[in-house]
Amino acid sequence: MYKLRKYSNWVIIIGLLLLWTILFELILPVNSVFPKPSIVMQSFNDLLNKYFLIWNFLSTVSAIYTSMFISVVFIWILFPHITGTNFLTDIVMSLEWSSRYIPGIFLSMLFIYWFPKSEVTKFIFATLISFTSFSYRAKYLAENVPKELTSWLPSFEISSNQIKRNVVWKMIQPKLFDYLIKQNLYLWASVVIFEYMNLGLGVGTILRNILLYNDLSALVMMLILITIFIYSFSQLIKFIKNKYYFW
Amino acid sequence: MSEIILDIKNLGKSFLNDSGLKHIVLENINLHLVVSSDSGSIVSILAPFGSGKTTLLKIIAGIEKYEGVISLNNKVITSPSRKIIYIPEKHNFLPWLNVRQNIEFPETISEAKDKILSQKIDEVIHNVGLSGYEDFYPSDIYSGFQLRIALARAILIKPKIILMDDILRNLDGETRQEIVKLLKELTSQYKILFILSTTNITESIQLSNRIYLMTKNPGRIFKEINVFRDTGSINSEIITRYKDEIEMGFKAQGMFQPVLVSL
Repeated sequence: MYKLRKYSNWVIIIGLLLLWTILFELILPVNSVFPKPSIVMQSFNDLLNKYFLIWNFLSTVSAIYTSMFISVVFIWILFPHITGTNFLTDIVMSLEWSSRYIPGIFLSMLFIYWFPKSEVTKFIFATLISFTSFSYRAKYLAENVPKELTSWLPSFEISSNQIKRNVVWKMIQPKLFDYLIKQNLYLWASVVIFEYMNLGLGVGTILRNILLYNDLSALVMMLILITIFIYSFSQLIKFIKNKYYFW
Repeated sequence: MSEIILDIKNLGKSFLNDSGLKHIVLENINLHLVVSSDSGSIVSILAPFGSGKTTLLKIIAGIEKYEGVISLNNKVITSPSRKIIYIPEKHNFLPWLNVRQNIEFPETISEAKDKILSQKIDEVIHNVGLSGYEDFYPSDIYSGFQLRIALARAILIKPKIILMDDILRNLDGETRQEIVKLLKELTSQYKILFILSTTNITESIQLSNRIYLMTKNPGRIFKEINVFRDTGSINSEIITRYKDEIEMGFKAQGMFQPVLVSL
């Protein structure tokens, strides 16, 4: 039987932060395991000045969210075709199938080999990943919309494309929004790994330099910043979904 | 006097199953319905579950392909037409639209030339008993009212035939009686031919002017019963008489528990 949780996620996280502060700020300020909170806070300045946080962060964020936006727009435009059986869906299905067995990292390696340190390649890579997984998800969700919801519409002389655009697309939107949250995390991981290998602009490059300089406090600060960003995006998506997609 | 003439000749439907064997759903269905468009009528197709009633209705609506010939007023049906509207058993409400928007929806996205004027919508909403519920969402109203939305949506475009796929099955007794009454009112008001598929003998007797009995595996119409009403209403004695006739008909086909008996 499902047990109700006694403590919320926030209580546990605040507890862990307090434990970290007490343990590493007051009891074990000098150690090689975890930096003390005050040092981590100070490392934010290092990230801004030495690691060029703003430009690198902007590069990663724009690659992730631009690719996500482009994918959603393309899926909206191509939706009747994506949900049908044609050459486009065959390609998407094949790419999705391949991604189950071939890690995306190999694709990124090839891209980096062909176009080293290219920012455009990063965008193309992110868009390709985003579009493939989104369109596969959209197709899957569309196929699972109850047939009864649309079976009556043809008798009103409403075409299959109109049904897909006006009913099926609308019906899958709440679940597609849920998928955005997963997609966000997945894209962050993919793009950061790409940048880590590519050595161009981006959070991945910052992380590579941090490890190169053994800068543990900057690493923890980056982790905190990325977590806050991903969490905020998820909350924004949940807010939009709850406000506008009540069905 | 104009008429609604629905003619079905040698209708069949089959498909290949997963093993590659031909499965016959409907076989040699012949039906000739002539209804005065000055009065309208309700006709039932009575058959057990899984006999192909839904398939038959979808074929008549032009939604599914078939073998044979179906014509409405001597015009062969090959594709969906606004003259014949299909109402499925459930799930046909768009949850993001309120009652009025749900009723208007097919018109708002339709490319048909004969679009409906908005003042007509108010009239239909009133006639199906949905006045005051226009701003409600389907999830906020009970199933009887949801069925009224489907009826309003269909009536709005003034079709000649409305096909109703076992729509009363999931309703409670009281709601079912309300809908039976409403269907009779709408028939005389809009002069439409309603074709109802059902598994319920009593329901078919109470509602219909004519009942077609259908077998299972494959689906085949084997008997036609005309329900006569002297005073317009129907009492329990008449129901019992027709019920016996229907049950005898099914037994003669080797089907001993074919359909639900009571309301």
